[in-house]
Amino acid sequence: MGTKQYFDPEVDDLNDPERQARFLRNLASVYSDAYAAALAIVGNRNDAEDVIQEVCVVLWEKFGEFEPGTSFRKWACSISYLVAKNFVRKKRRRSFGMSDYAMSRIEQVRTGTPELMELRSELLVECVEKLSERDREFLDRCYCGGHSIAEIARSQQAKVETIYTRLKRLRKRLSDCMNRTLGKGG
Amino acid sequence: MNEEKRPSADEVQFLADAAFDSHASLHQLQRLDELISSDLGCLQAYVERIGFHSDLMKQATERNSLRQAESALDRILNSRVRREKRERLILRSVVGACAALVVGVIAWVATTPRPLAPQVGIIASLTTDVVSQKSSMELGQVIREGGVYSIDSGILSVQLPNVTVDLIGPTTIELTNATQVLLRQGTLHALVQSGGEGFTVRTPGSVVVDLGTEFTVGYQQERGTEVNVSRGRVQASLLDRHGNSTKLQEVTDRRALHLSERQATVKEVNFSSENFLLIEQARGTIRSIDGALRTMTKAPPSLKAEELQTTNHMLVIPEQQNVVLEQELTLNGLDGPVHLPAGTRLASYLVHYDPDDWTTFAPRGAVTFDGTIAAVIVDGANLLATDSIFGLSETRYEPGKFRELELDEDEVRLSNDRKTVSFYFGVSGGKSIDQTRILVFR
Repeated sequence: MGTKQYFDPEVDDLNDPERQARFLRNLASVYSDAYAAALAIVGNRNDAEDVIQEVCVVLWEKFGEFEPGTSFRKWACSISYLVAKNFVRKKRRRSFGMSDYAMSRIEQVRTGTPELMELRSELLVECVEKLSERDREFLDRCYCGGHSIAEIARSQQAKVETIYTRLKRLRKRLSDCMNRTLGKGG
Repeated sequence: MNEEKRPSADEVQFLADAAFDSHASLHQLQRLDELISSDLGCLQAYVERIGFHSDLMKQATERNSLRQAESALDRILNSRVRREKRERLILRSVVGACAALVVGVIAWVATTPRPLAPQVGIIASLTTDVVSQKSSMELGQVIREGGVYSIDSGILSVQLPNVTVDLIGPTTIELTNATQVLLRQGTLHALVQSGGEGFTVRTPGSVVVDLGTEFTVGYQQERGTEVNVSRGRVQASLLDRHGNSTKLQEVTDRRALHLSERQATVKEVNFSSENFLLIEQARGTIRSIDGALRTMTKAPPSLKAEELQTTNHMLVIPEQQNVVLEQELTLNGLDGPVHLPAGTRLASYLVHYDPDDWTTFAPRGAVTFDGTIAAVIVDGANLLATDSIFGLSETRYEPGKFRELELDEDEVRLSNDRKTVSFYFGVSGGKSIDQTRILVFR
C-alpha cells in the first residue's frame, strides 16, 4: 500500500521554485499549529524551538508525499507530534522526558477537541486586547523573539524575579478573564 | 468532586508554566507526568495551559509582524513625500551640495574606524556568582587599554603581563595601561610575579606602587583608600589636587595602611586577611581557567552526588592550599604511579561536574596553575583515600567510587609543561557525577 508518491526524486527537483513557493505558502499557514503541537509534547519553549526546526526539515523532505486536497494542517501536525515524541524519547536517555503514555494522551486530547481549542484562542485574543498597551508590549517581549527571561531582565535592568512576578500576574489576569467569559457563556 | 479536581488543575497550571519557562525541577516534571497520565481533568488542564502559551506566542509574533509592517509602510509613505519634495529641492541643491560636502567630510572623519586600543590582558577566571549589569564578562575576553570593567558581585580575575588582578565585587576599575589600574570603587587583589614590579594601582586620591608582592587595595569615596599587604612590599602615598604624591609610606608583610584623601592623613591600621582568604578560596594558585569552568567564592557544604549540580559547566574548587606531607604518598595518577616524598608542600583542587536535567551538552574546559602539577587523580579509590588529606574540613565528600572518571567517555589531558589540565566530561545516563583531584607543588 503505502502513501502515494507525488514526489519522485528522479523526476522532481527540490530546487524547483514553484515547488518551494507552494511549500512555503503551506508552511506559513500551519506553522503556529505545528509549533503548538510540538510544544504540547515537549512542554518547554526551548525544546519546542529545536523540534520545530526539525519538523520543517521533515516536512520539506516529505512534501512530495503530501496529497493535495487533504489537510496540510493535519499532516504537518501529525509530523510535528512524531518528531516531538522522538525528541522526548532521546532526551529521556540523559534526563527526564515525558512518558509515552502521557504523550499519546496529550495528542489524543489535542486532536479530539479542536473547536474548544479554537474557542479558547479567540477568547484569549479578546482578553489580551483588554490589557494596556504597556502590558501587551511586555507580554510580546516575553513571548516573541526567543529572548529568555534573564535576557529581558538584563535589557530592562530589572531582577529576573521582578520580570517573573509581572509575567505571572499578567498570565493570571488573562486566565481569570478567560474563565469569567467561559463561565458566562456556559 | 469539583472540590477535589480544582486544586489539581491549579497545580497542573503551575507545573505547566514552570515547564514552559524551562525552570521546572525534575520532581515537578515527574509530578506533571503523573497527573497527566492519571487524571483526565489534569490532562485537559495541561493541554489548555500549553495551548494558552502557544496562543500567546502566536499573538505576540503577529503583533510584532504588524508593527514591522506598519513601520515599513511609514517608510514607504515618507519616501513618496520625499520624492514630491525632491523637485522643489533641485534649485536649492547647488547650495546644499556645498553644505553636504562639509558634512560629508565631517562624517568621514567620524566614521573612519579608529584602531582598537591595545590588548593588555584577558579575563582569566570567573566565579559562579559574577554578575555585571554594565557589560558582559566572559572567560578569555580580551581586556584593552582604557577599558572600564565593573562587576556587581563575585570575583573576576584579569591576567595582565606578570600580574594577576582579582576584582572582588562590587568593584569598578579602569585599565589605564598594562601596568596601571585606576580603582574607581571597590576592592582589588593583585598578585605580582617577577617582572611585574612597578605595577601601580591609583584611586581617586592615592597611589599604590608595587615592589614585588601580593596586596589588596580598597577604595570607597566616603572611607578613602585601604592597602593590605600579605607578602612583599608596596609604596603608598596620598595625591594632592595636582596628582602629585605626598606623604609616601612603605608597607610590608602583613601590614596595612589607611589613606584618607579628605583628611589628608595616612595611618597604619590592623592587617586584614579577609580578602586574601577569599581569593585563596576562590582561586588558590590558579593562573587561569578556560572554557566551561568556573570557580566558587565560598567552599561548598557538599560535593556529594546531586547536592551541587552544575548545568553546562564544571567547577574547580580550591581545597587545602598548604599541605605538607607527613609521610610519603604513593598515588595512581593520570599518567601512572606518583611518589610524593614526606615534606612535599602541595595545594589541592577538586574539579567537580554533576550535570542536572537541563544539561544539554558536555562541557569542555581547562585550568592552568602558577605551579607545576604533581598529580591528577581520576580513579575512585585514590580520590577517596586523599579526601581526608586534601579535602576541605567543612565540606561533605561523595563516598561512592562512581565519582571517578570513566576514561572511555571522559577526557583529561595534562600539558607537557605540567601546568594545564584540560577536561571533557560526557553526559551519558546513570550516575553522572565526575570528579578529579589535582595536586600542585607549592
